[in-house]
Amino acid sequence: MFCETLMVHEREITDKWMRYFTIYEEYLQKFKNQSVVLWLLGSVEYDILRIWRKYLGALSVIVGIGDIHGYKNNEDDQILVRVGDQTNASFLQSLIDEIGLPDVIVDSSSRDSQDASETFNFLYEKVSKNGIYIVEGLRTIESQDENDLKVEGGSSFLNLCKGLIDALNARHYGAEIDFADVTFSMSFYDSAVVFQKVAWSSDSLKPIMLPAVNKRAVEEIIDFGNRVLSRFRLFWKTGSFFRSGKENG
Amino acid sequence: MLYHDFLTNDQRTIHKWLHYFPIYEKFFNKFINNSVTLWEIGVFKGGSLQMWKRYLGPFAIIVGIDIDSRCKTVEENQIHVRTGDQSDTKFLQSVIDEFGAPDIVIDDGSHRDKDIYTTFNFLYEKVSKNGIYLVEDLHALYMDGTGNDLKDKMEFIDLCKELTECFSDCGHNGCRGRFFEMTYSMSFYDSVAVFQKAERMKGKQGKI
Repeated sequence: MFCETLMVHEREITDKWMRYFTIYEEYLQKFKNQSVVLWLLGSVEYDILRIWRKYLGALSVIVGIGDIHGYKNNEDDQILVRVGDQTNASFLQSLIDEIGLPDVIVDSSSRDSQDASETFNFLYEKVSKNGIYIVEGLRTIESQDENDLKVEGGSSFLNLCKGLIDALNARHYGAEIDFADVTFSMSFYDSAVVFQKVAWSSDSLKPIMLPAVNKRAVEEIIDFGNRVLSRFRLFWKTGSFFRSGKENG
Repeated sequence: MLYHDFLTNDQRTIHKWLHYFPIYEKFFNKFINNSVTLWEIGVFKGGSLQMWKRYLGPFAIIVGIDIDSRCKTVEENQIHVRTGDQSDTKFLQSVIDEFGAPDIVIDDGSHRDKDIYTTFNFLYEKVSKNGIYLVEDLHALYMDGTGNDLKDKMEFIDLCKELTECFSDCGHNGCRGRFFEMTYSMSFYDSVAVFQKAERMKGKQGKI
């Protein structure tokens, strides 16, 4: 469990972070002890990179990107730190060229929600085919007053997500949207959105009726029965099992 | 495995999209061999009711709801069918009175926006606290309209979009606070929306 990993670390946990643990467990468990490249974007403590390494295991590579506190130019094994602007596509591309494609993105930068959208637009398609993309710290506007019930307009990243709900169903109304072709799910949690990728094929996107054989057989029997019945009705009406051909004048 | 059960089905006819199975397994797995009440709105040939029974085990109560009274014929041990309109809240209440609050609701009914919306509005808060509310074949809503025009009335999808606001930091106390308090997550798939319920203590999230 992610929690247990932390306990071993004997580290003070902030309430804010705690709420994401169930999400990590749900989506990232499958990467434990696998070769996995995790990118942490945003303002992160160096210590947290170590916790991720402990959780994911000896084959993982943990990359901290952005503002990494407590980093003293002495990288541990499996841990990389790169400083730069995460909204800058060429910076992100240079990281991909250097490190390879990420399997998991955890972007906690979205206090300033604009960041999350730009990074997402560039990076989402680069994530590997069964990868996970998590955006943490969903915010609308800072609410000063607890009784302030307004949610004005919502953040731009949330608005992006709302549009993606339609995009997920795009192929059913004839639109071609790349997002739908690489996405299995988009899920909303307390202050976070999780995207689970998948490589769709036409084989997986179809409705199927089973058992197929029985159904066909049953339909044939019903059809045959109806035909026999209609002959008898005809016989009752006309005294003959066969149409005369003059019925319709 | 549910997918295996589906592919080898030789009982009543089941009609499902293939990619629904990973979704079912993800959310329903925890109910296996528990006392669980599953409602499926839209019975069709009754095959899926039998599938839920096989999947969930001997303590499951499967309730099929359909507007077509002929669906009654698929009743058997553990499987009950009630005839009524999914947008008739009095009828839904009578089913709750009879079988108790559902743990799982699958809306595979009329696939009409208005009905899905009405049923969700009434039934969602009745679902038990760790329950699942799943709406399928949502693509039917998109296909109602003409071509790419998504601005046609889609109350249910619009509601979902509005509800995403709850999950942002200030949404907790805000417009849809009540929804947030009883919801752990809200997930969208091709044609499917899933709501996972939870009971959050107001203002007291988990702490260590």
